[in-house]
Amino acid sequence: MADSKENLEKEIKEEKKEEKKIEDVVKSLKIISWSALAIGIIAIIVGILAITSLPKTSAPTSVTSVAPVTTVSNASFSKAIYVNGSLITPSMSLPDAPVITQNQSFGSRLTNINEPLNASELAVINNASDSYFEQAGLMLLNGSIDSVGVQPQNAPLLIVNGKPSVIYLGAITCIFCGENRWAMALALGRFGKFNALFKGYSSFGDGDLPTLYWAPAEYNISSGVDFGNFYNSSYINFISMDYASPIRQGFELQPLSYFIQQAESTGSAPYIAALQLISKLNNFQGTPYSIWGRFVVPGADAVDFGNVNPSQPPIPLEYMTHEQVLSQLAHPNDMFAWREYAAADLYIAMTCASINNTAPICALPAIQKIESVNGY
Amino acid sequence: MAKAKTFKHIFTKRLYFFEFVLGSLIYTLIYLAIVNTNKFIILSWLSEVLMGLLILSSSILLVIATFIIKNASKPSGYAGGAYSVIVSLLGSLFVSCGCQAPLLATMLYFIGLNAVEASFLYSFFASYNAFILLAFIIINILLIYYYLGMASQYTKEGKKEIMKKVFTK
Repeated sequence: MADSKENLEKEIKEEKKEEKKIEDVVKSLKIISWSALAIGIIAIIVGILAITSLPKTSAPTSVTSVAPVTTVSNASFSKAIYVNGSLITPSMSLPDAPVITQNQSFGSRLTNINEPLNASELAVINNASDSYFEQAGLMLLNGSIDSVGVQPQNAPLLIVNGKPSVIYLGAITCIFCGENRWAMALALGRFGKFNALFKGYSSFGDGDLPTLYWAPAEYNISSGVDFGNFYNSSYINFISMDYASPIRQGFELQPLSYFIQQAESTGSAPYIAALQLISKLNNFQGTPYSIWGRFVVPGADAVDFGNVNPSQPPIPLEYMTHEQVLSQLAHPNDMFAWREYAAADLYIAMTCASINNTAPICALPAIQKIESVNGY
Repeated sequence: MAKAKTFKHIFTKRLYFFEFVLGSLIYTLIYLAIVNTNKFIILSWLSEVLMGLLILSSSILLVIATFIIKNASKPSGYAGGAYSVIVSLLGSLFVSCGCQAPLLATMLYFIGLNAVEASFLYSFFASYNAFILLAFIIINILLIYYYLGMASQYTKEGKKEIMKKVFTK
């Protein structure tokens, strides 16, 4: 009897010992887990603090390099910003980024990159028929065109040398910029003329889509900005900048501070003022980013990658040549071309609203209707 | 070995397996919704594979965390569950960070960043999204390993193994 009692007590003691050991193991696990969580939280806090304490000197407070400039610091949406200074005219060719003449296969082709459009190709953009814009506008209004539309935000007018401005910030490697430049070129062609445009592509990692470049692109450079264009208009200025990085790789972009630094190195007051404005508006959310007079379009105003818009490759536009795209735009008869014209119509309507409808294209019924429907 | 047995023990139970399937489905739907908001086109098979792995590992982590919560009400279980949800959300945000990222940008402006700061982060995420996803997956796998160790205390097999270890010491 006494023996069994002793045995039982021994067993209970041992069990208690085991329990204690397990409890110890659990305790140490608990400590590890809580400390891991604490480290994670601290890391997040440190990360946020590091970001918020980034140097803010990148946005210059005033610009005095070229001409007297009104700073953007007091930008209100009703007040225009006045800037005087020369715009940037780039060179027609780049020794480090020559025209590539050999035919290459889709997906990894740079055929004719940086080649200027010939006269007939340029005429497709400069002399597009108003009837195409009207037709596309009506299709957009009656809902027979999809994937076109935008909710613009307000911005103060940037008046450069007495004319309102269209500002564009993009990247040569970016797929949406590539698609969007076609519509932009069509829209800008209604307010003025391009003396030159260049054949280009989005990067290999971003679809290798045929597109237009505003200026020859530094497609081999590790990092740079292609400023300027060959556009002339009596109604508006066109201020354009594309981030340039290796076209054979994927999409890349630098922060706005980098663009500001690069613009400062050019000494062009309008470009510096344009970037100041973009920084102050606090609505930059990637490329393409454009301001059409009083309206900010933070992104592309259409998704148009061919007659069908896929969410995964293959992308129809990737398998088209510049000649095919231009041919479609010269004689629109499919959804791809109508979408480009409709996307251009939205840009035109915003610009017309910003210049008091003074350009002839603003008299098109479809443009006026788009302005009133969208409240521009 | 105890961890493998615990894993088998959890995932052979219908309820937990259902949670795994449901979790994966919800994470996939969230990912697709974010991608759609960003007008993103999935161009790289690598991003798709990494995102798939992230969704799978997050769902597994969620199930194991639920098991721990149910069997022990351990706070670390809640942490694991929350981490699983957060990491799949962030992964979706970063992988869809291409030319345009309206959702991420909105969040960055919401937490008080200005355009220059937001563009700094945004361009970083856009350039390194594959590496960030890979890091998330590795952390998920490490957490799964750790949580399985914790969960094994509440399965027969695990208890046996712990006992063995305790007695052999």
